[in-house]
Amino acid sequence: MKTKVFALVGLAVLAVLGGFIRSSQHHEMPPPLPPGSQREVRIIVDVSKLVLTLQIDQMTYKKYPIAIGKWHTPTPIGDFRIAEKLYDPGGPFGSRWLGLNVPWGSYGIHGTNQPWSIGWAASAGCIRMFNSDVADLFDLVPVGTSVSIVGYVPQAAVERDLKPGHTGIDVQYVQFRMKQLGFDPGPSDGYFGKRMNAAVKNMQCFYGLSATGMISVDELCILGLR
Amino acid sequence: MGRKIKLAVMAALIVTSLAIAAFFWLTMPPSEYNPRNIYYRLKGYTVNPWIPIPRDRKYELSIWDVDWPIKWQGRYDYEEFLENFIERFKLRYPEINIEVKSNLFPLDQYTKTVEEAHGRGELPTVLAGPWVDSLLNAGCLVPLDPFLSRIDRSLLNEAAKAAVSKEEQLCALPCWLDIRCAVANPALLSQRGLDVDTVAFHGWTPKEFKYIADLAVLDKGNVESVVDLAWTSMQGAEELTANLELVETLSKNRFKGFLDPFWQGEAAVILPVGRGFLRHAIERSGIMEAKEVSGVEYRLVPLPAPTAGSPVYPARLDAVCVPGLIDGGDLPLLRLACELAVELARARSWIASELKGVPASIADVPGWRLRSGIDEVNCQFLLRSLENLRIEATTPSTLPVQKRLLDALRGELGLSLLQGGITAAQCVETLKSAWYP
Repeated sequence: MKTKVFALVGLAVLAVLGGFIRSSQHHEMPPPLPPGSQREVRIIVDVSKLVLTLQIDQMTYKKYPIAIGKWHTPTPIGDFRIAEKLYDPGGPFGSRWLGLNVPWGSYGIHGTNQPWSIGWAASAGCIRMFNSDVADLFDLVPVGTSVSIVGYVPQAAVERDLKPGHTGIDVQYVQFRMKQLGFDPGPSDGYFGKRMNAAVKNMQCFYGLSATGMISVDELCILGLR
Repeated sequence: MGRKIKLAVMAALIVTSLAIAAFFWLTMPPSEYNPRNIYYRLKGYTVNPWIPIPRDRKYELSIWDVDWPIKWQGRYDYEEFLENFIERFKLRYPEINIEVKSNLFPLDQYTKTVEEAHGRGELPTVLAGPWVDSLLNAGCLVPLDPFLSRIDRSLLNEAAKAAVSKEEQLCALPCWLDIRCAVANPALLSQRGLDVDTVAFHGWTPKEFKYIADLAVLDKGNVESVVDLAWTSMQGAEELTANLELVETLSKNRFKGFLDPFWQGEAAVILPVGRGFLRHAIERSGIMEAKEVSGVEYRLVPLPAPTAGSPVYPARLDAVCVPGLIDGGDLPLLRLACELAVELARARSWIASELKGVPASIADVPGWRLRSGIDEVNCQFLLRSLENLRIEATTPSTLPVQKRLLDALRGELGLSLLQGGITAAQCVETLKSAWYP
């Protein structure tokens, strides 16, 4: 009898604590964004804390628990955008799919048919959410929303000369290193675009190299990647 | 006796009145009739610190600078540093309505942007960054002498001062110098029987100059390499030809890149290098230490010159100046701009240690030695080189023909030579049109 009472009391305490923690994570819901809204919506995914934060006008509105990629299929780190939205993709993608513009693979934020995996490094690189949470997020973020995935910067071997138009994780690694040295190549999205080209020229000029706008052996030396 | 007393009283009265007048004049606030304002105007300095600043209007100043990739106090980027500086400057004039806007440009676009703006007559009130020589020749810079003490002026490097002066008026305040030199691997030089200390002190002998081509690499796409090498050998046609032949030989070397072969221990010398190399070498040393890998030792040495004698060091200059039309210009605004420029030049002195340039004022050298992270031997080399600088600028010490030669080399001609399109002999033939126009 005593054991049952203790178990019930324990469960009640856990339920109260759980509710408290959940309520502290949920901020007041923002009103739905009207069409053509000028509000700045941004998603920040912290892979080290397994949390997705939704920001509206630079204010944190809501945080969601997530699952990220396994150690051998890591979630890409960098600055991306939502490229597509799919309603009810089903199967392992759960109730919603928000595709990211990662240039070297198909990655997205989606629901799941394995809700127990949330809070773990369990996916193939995508960001998994509870189906109810992703449905909630789906209505708040338009296509083109900025998604910053932060965490440990992945190291990649740069074994080719890089020039405008190239994509890949090696491009992204160069972007991270350039930012560390104080040159702004734009978003760390793994795409060698115009802005990165201008930043490379600026870096070459600063270090006294010929301004080719391309990454070759000397630039890799400068970046400490060779 | 009575007459003597009268004379003494009169003399005392005159001296006292003169002393009172002098005291009154010297403590006078800035005005049209302030004696020091009159004095400076008579000396040709229309803009000086005794020009009155009416308080019933707004003063809009603008600063153009380079977006330097550095962190102030290790935390703030250069833009934040400038904003902070502007706020502190405005606090000096609480009763005056001043608005200061800053505009930062990438280093590779700065000179072009300034020259284009000059052409359109749209220069800002304060320019800070790489020295644009054409502004001095256009005569549009406000002399800054009245805003500096005699001591401040005497502490400036003589070559730097000459580069920014016109008719003995200081038209810009030099901040720091980018000294162009070569960098050598002492171990590889030693294998060839060369002592790096001797080369660093005395330069390359004519004999050593002949086989430097086997040891050295240069950036085959950077036309400034040709300009720097030409600038060290402007004594005569033979010297210039010899250095251009060196460029021709080096343009055919087998290496890919020039930093990488040096760090791999394949090339013994890189020419030319500047502050960028030093910053890179220091950053690289940190990475190598973290990886617990022993790096390649490097020593700065002078650029090769085919004739014996004291080595010459080409240098580029970073300075702060105030473009403005003196005749009919807005004098109160220009006075504020000059005061802002002088303060900015002082505040920017930390850039030299971050960028690994050398301060133009001796006063900044002790702090630079502590903060720059450049090792003692290379530091001493840079300080020694200050005595024999050659700054590329059209000053009275620069012959117009030299300027024309450098301009010609900086274009397609230099690039063709670097990329093997023409030989040194063909290059010299073409340059003769600049020699004998």
